[in-house]
Amino acid sequence: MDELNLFLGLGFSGLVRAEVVFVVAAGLTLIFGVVKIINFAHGSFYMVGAFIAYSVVRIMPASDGAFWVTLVVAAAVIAAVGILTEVLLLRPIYARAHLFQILLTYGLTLVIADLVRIIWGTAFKTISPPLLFSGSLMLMGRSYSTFYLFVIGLGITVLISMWLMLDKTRFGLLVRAASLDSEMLSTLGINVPLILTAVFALGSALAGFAGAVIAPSVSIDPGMDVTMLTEAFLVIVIGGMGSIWGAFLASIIIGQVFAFGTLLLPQFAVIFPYMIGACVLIARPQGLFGRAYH
Amino acid sequence: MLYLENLGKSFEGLMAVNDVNMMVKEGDIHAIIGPNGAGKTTLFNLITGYHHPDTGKVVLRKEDITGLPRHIICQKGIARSFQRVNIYPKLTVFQNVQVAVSSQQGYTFSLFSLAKRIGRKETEELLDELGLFQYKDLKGEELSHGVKKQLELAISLANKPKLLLLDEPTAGMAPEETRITLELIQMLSKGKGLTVLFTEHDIAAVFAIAKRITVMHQGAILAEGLPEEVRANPEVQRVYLGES
Amino acid sequence: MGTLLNGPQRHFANLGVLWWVAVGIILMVFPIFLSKFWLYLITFMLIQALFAVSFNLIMGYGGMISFGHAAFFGIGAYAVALLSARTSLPFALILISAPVVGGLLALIIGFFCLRSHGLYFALLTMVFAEMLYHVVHKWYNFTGGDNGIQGIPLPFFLETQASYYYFVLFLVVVGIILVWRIVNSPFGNAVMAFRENEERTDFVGINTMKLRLEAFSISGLYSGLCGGLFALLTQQVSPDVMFWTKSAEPIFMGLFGGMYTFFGPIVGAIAIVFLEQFISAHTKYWAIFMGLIILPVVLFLPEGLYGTFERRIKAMIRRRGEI
Repeated sequence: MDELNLFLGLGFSGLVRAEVVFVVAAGLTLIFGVVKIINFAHGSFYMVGAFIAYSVVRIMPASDGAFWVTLVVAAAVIAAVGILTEVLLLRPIYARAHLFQILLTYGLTLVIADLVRIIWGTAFKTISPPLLFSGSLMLMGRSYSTFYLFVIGLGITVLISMWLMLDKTRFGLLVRAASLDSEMLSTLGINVPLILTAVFALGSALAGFAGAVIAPSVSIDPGMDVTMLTEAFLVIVIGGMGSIWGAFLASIIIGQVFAFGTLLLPQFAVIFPYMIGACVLIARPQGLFGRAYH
Repeated sequence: MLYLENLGKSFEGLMAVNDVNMMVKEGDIHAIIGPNGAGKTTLFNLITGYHHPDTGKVVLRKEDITGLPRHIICQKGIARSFQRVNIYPKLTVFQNVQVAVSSQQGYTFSLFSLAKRIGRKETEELLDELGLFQYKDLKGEELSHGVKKQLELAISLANKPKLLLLDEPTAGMAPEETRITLELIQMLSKGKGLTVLFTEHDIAAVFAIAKRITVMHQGAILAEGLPEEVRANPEVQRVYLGES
Repeated sequence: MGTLLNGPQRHFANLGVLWWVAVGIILMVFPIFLSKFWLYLITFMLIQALFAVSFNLIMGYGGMISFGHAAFFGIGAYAVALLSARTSLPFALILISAPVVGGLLALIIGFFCLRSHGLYFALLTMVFAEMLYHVVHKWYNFTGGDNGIQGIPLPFFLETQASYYYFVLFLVVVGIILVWRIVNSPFGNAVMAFRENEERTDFVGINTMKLRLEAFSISGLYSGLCGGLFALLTQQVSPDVMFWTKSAEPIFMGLFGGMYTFFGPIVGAIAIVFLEQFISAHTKYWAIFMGLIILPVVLFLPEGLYGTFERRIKAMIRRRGEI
């Protein structure tokens, strides 16, 4: 029974981490699928979201509502940053080779990383989880932190909302059309650049949102961007670029592989997800649910 | 020379090429005609290894080349030109042809010889033959459409092919350019003993130089034979007059 | 791109020879009057220049972006470090091991990654490189993990700053000349052809997979050598040398200098090493300045500094020739 407890514990923590990565990855894969850009600064957006949450909590009087405010503010600010990035920096170079877009967003990463250091300093920060979620819940004989349960629930909510939006709303239809053939869409009189900007803003907002959500339970430091970026990349590469469901599945797989990997080889557990990634990609270069692009 | 047996290929449920049996005789100028969407380009793609056929075989001079990698098929003696012009835009005309020549001569992977010296003579001869020598230092993208097509022909010939596949060689050309191109094709066929298989929309061009004609319609062969036979075929007349 | 025009440029060619002689002389006399610090910096710059130029074989000439070259650079560095620290092999063998392992690793990784193209290929190389970084970072017993390996010895004839400088200078010059030969060989032309039009290249009978794998391995070999030289320069290694930011370095140098020219990456390497040095001497926030420099170059000068310069000069020559 001890082992079961251990497994459940591992599986649970793997799931929590997976959900956070999923939300970030969902934004990244959405942007790639529609705008056809790999945004290296996506991890930076996540990090800034977390730092914004920290600042909001410091400014606001200690209250429970503070947490929800951080979520809203982080998402909104990052969405705005996303819009600026897309309009000012990315639009001029859409026609150019992918390399330039990658380099541009990488340059942006450098700028943001140092800006964060300038504004918030290099020491890492922590904020405490909201009182609402500081307890734990008993489920089937084991206690789970309510905050973590909330995070998992949030991840699933994001998944379902994204799916509903893409599948059932008019906006979602336009987005899907834009990802398939944006030229055709613009000949139909639809403002395609606006859609691309909106998608970029939405995807970025998801990253900032994820940062704010998980801020109470991690150490907020200026290296967060890189770790999250590489995890998110791994997720979308395995799941298939442009696929939300793929990202969900991949993030869960990776989360569990990592969690249980710590059981086998704690030192090298971090490598297991990469090996899985390499295997998947060798067998199926476009990822689990990806379309076979050129 | 070339023998296609039961060739078939479908894309997502649509039969692009349907049970095609065809024979191209050595030294012939053989044309494939048919309305748009008849499957001509797909057929070419199947022959040259761009797609893998679902059914059937492609046999070149008694050798089964079905599904071989593209570069191997090229090395076996098939060269092709493309419908949309497929040259190297930022390389000079000279370099365009030279790449093919050095590939044919087996120098592609030699790391330390100077490219300028490889295949210089052959490249210049080929350019001269096709009237491209004057353009030799211009970049591919700087050429006019007709000249680009000539360049593409030069690149295909550089591989010393035995079978030349031309996908709509006179597309987008003015009448004078068309005439020159057709003369060129005839000269190449006779002079170098090339077998030429080409697709065309310009029916007059086809009847001018083709020895045998195959008509395709909706992925299958509608008729095949000498030009007069095909011209007289009622099915062919129906398809062409009825649909165009 | 390495192709010279005839006629008017013969006139400039003489100037060119003079230029190279002058550069050669300057490079040879540096150790006489430069301080240790500057000599170190110039040595580093030479290594980076070779790194950038050889990487450009696949980036500028081949059109393939790899984010994984830190792996090859790093494995070269670690090979030298480990062999020096753990064995008593002769120096020559230790040095040779760097490009050899770099090239071999590139062959293996390339075999898996080159089945994909474009963006997928780039991300795949990044994934592999990340994985290797983590292996090196965590494998305490073998690689020293976080701490890396310190105190790599230099053979007696290279112990002074000046002697190591000349050693690196020699290797780098030879290396660059070899890259020049490769780029101007039929192989180099084929690589460019592949970049321009993959389909067409298939159809002239070139095995493009073999082509790319060979180019990738060559660049990996050079990266390994540079890593080895770097390890000997700093006389230590740490996992940082395999971190993905290292992969970005040759990309930036190529971009900054001009990746569609041969000398662009060299110019880029020189410029970026100087810039980094200058900026970090004045502020600890060098990343933001680097970023702010990179952004406008990407936006407005896609051909890079040297590339734009070369194009203008060529246009000027053509105009003079027409008069």
